[in-house]
Amino acid sequence: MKLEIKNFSKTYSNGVAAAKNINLTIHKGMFGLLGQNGAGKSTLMRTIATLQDADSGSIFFNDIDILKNPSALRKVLGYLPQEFGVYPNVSAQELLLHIADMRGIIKQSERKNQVDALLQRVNLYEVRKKNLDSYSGGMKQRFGIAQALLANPELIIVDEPTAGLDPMERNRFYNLLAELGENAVVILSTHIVEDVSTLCNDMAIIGKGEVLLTGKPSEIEISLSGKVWEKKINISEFESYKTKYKVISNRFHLGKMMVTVVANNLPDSAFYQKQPSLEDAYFNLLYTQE
Amino acid sequence: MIGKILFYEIRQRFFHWSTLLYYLMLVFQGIWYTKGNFDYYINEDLFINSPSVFYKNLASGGMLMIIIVAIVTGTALYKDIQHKTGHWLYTLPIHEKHFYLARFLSAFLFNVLLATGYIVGMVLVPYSGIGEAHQFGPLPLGQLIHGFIFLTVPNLFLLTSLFFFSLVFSKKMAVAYLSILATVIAFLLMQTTSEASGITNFLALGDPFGFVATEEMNLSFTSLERNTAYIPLDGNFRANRLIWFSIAAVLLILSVLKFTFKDFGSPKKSIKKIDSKPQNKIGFVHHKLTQQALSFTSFDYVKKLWSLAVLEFKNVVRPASFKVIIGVILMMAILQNLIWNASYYIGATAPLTSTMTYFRLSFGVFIIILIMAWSGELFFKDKTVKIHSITDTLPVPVWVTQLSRFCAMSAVAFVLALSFMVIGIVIQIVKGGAGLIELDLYIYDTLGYNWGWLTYVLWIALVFFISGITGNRFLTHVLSIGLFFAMIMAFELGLAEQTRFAFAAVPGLEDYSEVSGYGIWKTAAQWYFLMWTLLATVFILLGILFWNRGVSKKWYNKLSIHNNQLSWLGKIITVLALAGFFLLQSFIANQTIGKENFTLSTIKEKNNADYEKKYSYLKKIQQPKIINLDATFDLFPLQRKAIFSSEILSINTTSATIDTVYLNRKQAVTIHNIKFNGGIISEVLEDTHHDVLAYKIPKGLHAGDTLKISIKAEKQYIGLSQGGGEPQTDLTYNSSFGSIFDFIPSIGYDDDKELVQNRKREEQGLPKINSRMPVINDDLACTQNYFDSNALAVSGTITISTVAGQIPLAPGSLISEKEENGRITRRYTITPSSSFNWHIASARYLVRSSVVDGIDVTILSSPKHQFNIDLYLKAITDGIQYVNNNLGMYPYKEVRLSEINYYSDRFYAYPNSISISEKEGWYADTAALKDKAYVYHSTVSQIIKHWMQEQGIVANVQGAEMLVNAIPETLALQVVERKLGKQAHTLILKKKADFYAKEKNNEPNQEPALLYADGIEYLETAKGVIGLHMLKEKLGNIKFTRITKEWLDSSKHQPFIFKNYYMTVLKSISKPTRNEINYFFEEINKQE
Repeated sequence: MKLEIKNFSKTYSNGVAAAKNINLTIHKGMFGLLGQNGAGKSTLMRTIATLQDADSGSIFFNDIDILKNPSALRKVLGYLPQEFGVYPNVSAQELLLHIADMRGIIKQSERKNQVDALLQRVNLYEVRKKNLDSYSGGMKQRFGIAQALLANPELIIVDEPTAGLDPMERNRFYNLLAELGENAVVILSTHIVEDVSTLCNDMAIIGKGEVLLTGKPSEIEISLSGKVWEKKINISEFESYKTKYKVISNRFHLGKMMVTVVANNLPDSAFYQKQPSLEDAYFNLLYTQE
Repeated sequence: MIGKILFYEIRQRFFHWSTLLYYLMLVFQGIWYTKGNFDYYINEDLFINSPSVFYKNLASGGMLMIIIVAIVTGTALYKDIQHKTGHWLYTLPIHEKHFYLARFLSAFLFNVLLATGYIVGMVLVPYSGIGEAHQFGPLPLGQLIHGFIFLTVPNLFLLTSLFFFSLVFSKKMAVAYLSILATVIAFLLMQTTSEASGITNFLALGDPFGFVATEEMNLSFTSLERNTAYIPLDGNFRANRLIWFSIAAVLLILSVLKFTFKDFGSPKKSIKKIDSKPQNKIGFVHHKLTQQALSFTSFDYVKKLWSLAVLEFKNVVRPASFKVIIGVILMMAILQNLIWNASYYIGATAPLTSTMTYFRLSFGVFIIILIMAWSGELFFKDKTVKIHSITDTLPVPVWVTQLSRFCAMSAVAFVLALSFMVIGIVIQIVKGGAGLIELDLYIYDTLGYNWGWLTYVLWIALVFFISGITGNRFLTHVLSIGLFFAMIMAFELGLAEQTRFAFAAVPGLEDYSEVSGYGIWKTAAQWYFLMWTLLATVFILLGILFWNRGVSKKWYNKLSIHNNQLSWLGKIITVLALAGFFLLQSFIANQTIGKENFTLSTIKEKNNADYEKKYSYLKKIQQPKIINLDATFDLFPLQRKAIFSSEILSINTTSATIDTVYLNRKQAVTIHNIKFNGGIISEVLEDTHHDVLAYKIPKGLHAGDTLKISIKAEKQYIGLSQGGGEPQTDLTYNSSFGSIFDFIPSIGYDDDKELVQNRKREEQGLPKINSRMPVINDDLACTQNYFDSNALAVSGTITISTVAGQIPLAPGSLISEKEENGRITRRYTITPSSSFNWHIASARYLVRSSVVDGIDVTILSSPKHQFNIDLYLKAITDGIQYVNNNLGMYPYKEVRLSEINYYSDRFYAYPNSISISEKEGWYADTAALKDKAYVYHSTVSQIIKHWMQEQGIVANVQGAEMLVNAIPETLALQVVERKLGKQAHTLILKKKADFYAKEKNNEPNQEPALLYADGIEYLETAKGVIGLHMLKEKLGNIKFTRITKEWLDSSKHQPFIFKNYYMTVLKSISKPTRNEINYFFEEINKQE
């Protein structure tokens, strides 16, 4: 079970090249896709999800040519888009039953069983008969998750799935995804680096329509081993540090600015070495790309 | 702050796509309502763009405007609840009352801004093509602004205040919409009640829109004032405006006091937000997901199509807005059928099924627009609510998802159409017409393709197609509704005439006859519907092919033949259906135009003009006069065919020799054999284009010589009809009715072909005419018979047969009747010679017989129309007795009154026969005196016409119809007065005065003085009767009758000329009152 993307390119009519010769091979399990806004993640996701044509290249899921035979992929696809709406006058149960029907679960009893099970899993069972327009943002997101998991899809694409979820729900959702990832290819597109590092077996970082890096999160983290340094500085010193060092990120800690620098050697004695994280690798990559 | 909010709101709305759409709709309404109000306005010399018409437009507001006001106002305040912007907006440092007022003002001012579209429409009326140049006056801009300020603006203020008030107090949109609906219903009730029973102070003050008060003012205006005056701020008009403005202001003040952010922003019970975490539960509870069997067979897809359609149907009908709109439509249907229905020619009508199904036509435009708008919304629903990014990835083909919506929308339309049917049936029962329910007609009209449900489905298919092409909701609405409007306008304005170019339309949909049904159009309609169905199939299939799944595609990508949203089978069917559509277009063109069943009006006018240019010399060429006709007609109504033979005996009444006889062959007639005095002569002329034949008589026809023309021929209409203008009523399935000259050729010049409208004449290069009839000093015309210029009084026999079940009718006394071989044959004789305005007929009739003063009276009516038979019998009885007692003996021993379809003229009186159009009383509700009097008077008039026609020949010059129609009708007024009372008599005269006042505005040429009346209905039968009634009043009944009778007796030696009659009567009038009479008869009194 694998998804294979070869030489995928897409340029929009306004001239923006959203994907430039992307090549990726994604196997069963959780695959993280990291990238800034406008990096091309959603373009890639939409194309895999059959919502968009490619200018060139090919995308295969197992032996399904997605670009030429999108209807075949749709039979095994579960997709949670970054933004979606719901019908205002329909209940969650009703809409899920409808989607289950569309996904090919032909037996009514099976549809009902799976919808009920999913409603339980996303904790909407108690409110399943309420109209969707009365749902809060988090509830709608959970509804979206439920619909993406209907009919046990082999390829699950989730684009920023945890938006609107509280931390508890978010953790639970990731546990669910991880469980599903045992039997399916799950592509998780997110800004949250930590999520990828904790959840995904494999990942890719995309920037400006190109795959900047692929690999296992742990390997990517290790690639910076011994090269990441941190130091508390005054805000007024920040500009000079940027000029002097390769500052890949900065953050505040207890009211002081912490800068993270990548260097082969200790930049100065006040720096202390940091255990590299995936986030550092990601920021380093973005820095390099800029 | 108010200013900032106001400016923001107006700017936001102004640049929204819907604003342009609404504005254009109101422009259209401005033109449309002007035409409608002008057509129904009874006024002297009224301009189409007169202030009276505009005031009436502005007071009625119009359905489109009210709907638009409801839509615009609906979102003005509620949007913060709907889109949840109130959550943060209401926390801003804004004074809540200022905020409310600003939102109110923005809605109100925006409504006012949109309403200027209505004004623009009225300003554009002269350029819209709805009338001729002479029907427009100068633009009454001042009055338009005046009406806008005192009618439109306060009415919009009322509606906006009411809406805001209802919304603030209920926090429910449905309540606000219902309040608007209630106001509209109140207005309609006041309006209709005032029309039915007269204007009262209560109605004038109680009407929320001031329509009744406006009409009250309009009615008090003289003709000149209606074209020029401002409605004064006075009386009921002022009081009405003040009352309703005050009510609106109070509503606004109350709502301002009530409105607070806290109150309005708190959730309603009905959409209370759900607690996102039920107690003791946390997200993503572990629950085992089992593996399911998935199936994607074609059969599964078909099942999905059904289940999806059901779901989509529910989605459409669930929202409160849908229920409100449906409620309004159904309420309109109820009101129309219960209160307003069927003010046809004479007034109230019995609760017939055809009057109930008429709703689909009168409200058809609104209904189809609504259905198209809903369709567009439904087709784009996923994109609108942004769930398409999920649904587009589902493993269901486009044809399943989109077709399910098409089916759902078709089901919604079906429910709507079925509701019309149910409402009609219920109202028929309520009005005591349970026995009149015709279920098959209901089904055909409301559920079929006759502007019923299947028509709606065809329009839904068009929207489906446009949705697929554009992939844009707004553009879909604009294009589909725009196309619909464009089509309506094109046909209304005469830019298009052929039904085959009117998508989803079928011929004759507005031409239902109670006696002929849809007749010849029914077969044609089947072919047209088949043609539109093929096109709709193409639309649906292409709609599927082009539908944009996922991210928008470039249009040329959609056109790719490799687009697999439609299977190859689907693509092949598309091509075949398109080919079938064009084949049927070609077939219909051949069946209509090719078979001469339809001619474009411009071509017809050109042909007629060419005929006149080529043959007008025949006017001055003497032809033999018909004196006897023996004919046999075998009618085959179901085949629209007649086989006939005739022997026309004519005589040369001139002193000169006639060497050539000219005959006019009629449409669809094939002459198999023609002999002159028993011999065959070759024609010297056969003009197949104008159907003129000329035969040279060997040795000529000398003075006093007779010529017998023997003809064997047949007539058959083959093919289909295109539009409602050519019903081919002489040979139709039931209730065939035609002149004798629809079959046998007429002799000499056929003046029926002449163009009588000067504008048309000028267009065709013909000189203008001053009169539509020969003038009084035309010596030749003075010797000719008005009924046929080449006939004298004619005797003869007619043998006529028809299919069993129908009764064949012809002029004259019935001699014999037999039924054999499934055919009924009757033989009639016309002796002595009589006026030659003969007609034959065949129809299914129920017969009622009686004897009056030794005269056999037979009334033949549609079996469905037995409502007024007693009244007809009474009128005939009273008419015969009046003639016998006052004028001399009624000329016939037998008289037949028959019901005919309404495509023909309204009344026919010919030897032993009277034929009256179905709409002139056969199913009238004659409970009211005015309706009863009308039916009674018109019938008595026909009896007196019989007497009149037997007095001698009427000359074929101006004033002929004063003698033929106006004198009998005037004499009949005496009968009305004696038998039904003075009030009935007054009501008839008022009806005639109204008819004259209304119809003279449509005079295409110049209105002639009454003395020179040239055969136009509003003169002779309206003003003419009023004028003769004046004479009668001056002279007294007895003297008037005596003078009339004496003049007829003394003038028999030559054709009657009205002017001579008039001069004779005038001599009996005292000099002081002559001026009044002179003015009425000899002047053209444009303004009174």
